Formats: sequence, structure tokens, C-alpha cells
Amino acid sequence: MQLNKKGSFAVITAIAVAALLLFIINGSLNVSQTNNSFLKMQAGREAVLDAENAVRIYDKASNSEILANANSNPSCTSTLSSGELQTALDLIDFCEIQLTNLTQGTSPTVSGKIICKKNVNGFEITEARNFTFNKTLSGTFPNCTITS
Amino acid sequence: MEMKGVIFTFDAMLALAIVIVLFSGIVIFNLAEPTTGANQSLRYTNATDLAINEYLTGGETKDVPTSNPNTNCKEFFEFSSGIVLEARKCS
Repeated sequence: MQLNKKGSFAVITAIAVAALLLFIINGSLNVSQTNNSFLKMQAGREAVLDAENAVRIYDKASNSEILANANSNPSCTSTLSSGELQTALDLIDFCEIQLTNLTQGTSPTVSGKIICKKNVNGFEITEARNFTFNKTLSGTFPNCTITS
Repeated sequence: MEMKGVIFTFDAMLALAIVIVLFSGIVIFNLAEPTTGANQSLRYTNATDLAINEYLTGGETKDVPTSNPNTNCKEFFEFSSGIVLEARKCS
């Protein structure tokens, strides 16, 4: 290429500008992708924290239901069925809870899975956590107490 | 316009000037501030840390959420005869 020829540097400038435009486009795409990644990370963290919070909420709600049932029995034992507890816990619109087992008596045990979901730009993040709550009923009717 | 200089012609100097200005612009743009997503994530993390600390230590002050889209709030709940708001922090 003869640089002293008219128009030579115009070609070089055009190439340089085109290259710079590509860098700019690449940079913009990177920023967009990074934003999206951060949003997904945030949603993931949100789902985990919600699941952690949900465990406590469902634990306390189970206590409440079992204790209410036990206080209706003279011997302070729970006769609550899994279906009844599931129906009561479904009223809590926090995360989804799927009970797999509930034992009755003075030491009821609640087992299942808590599932929390978060949606970000059509991307769904699911946090599922298995749990087992071991409870102990004590006291005398109608002032039964529950510990867990 | 084409004038011969000692090393570069005016066309060449113009081209170099354009390249330098564009490149400087990109550098300034990149150094200006973290991306919106990164900033939001930092604010959210900060709000979450404050809220979880309040939640676990039993603090009583709850931030009021604002309509500012740049404000991130995190809430934690407790169960006591129904779900009650235990902690809310905004950042």
C-alpha cells in the first residue's frame, strides 16, 4: 500500500473505526450479559434465603397446627393427619411445601420438601430443601406444650 | 485535503486523532462506574446482610420501602398466628 497515495489513510481510518465499533459492540454485549448474570445470581440468592426463611415459617406453622390438635385430646397427643396439615400449610403462600410423612402421638415427626422458585427474565431458579421436624408434646390437657 | 508533513499527512493525523478520541471514549466509558447490574447486586447484598442480621438478632426497626427503583429491600418473615414481617432493610 502506498501511503502517500490519496485515500490510503481513509481506508486505514475506516478499518480502525470498524474495529473500534466492534469493540464497542462487544463491550455493550458484555455489559448486558454481566447484568443478566448478576440478576440471576441475585435471584438464586433470593431463592436460597426464602427457602431458609420458609423452613422456620413451616416449622412454626406445623407446631401451631399440631398443638391445636393436641389440645383437643385429653392425653396431649396429636391425631393430626398428613392431609389436614398439608391443607393448613397450603394456606401459607410463601413457598411450596410437599409433606411426605407425618407421625401422630406424643412425638410427632413432620417430613417433606420445601420448594421455592424465583423467575428472572424467563429464567427460573428453584431451591428445594428436604426437612424433618421432630416435635415433642408434653404438659396436661388443655395446656399442652410442644417443643422442637 | 492532502498536505505532506514531515512524517504524516494531514489525512493521517486526522485518522489518528479520530482513533485516539474513540479509544479514549471507550476507556472513559468502561472506567466510569460499575455496571447497573453489579451496582444493584451490591445494594441487594448489602440490604440482605443488614436484614438477616436484624432478623437473627431480633432488631425492631424496619425500613420503609421507597419508590426509588435503585433501592433494594430484603424482608424476612416469622410465623406467629400467621406470617408477620420480622425484618426489612433497604439499601
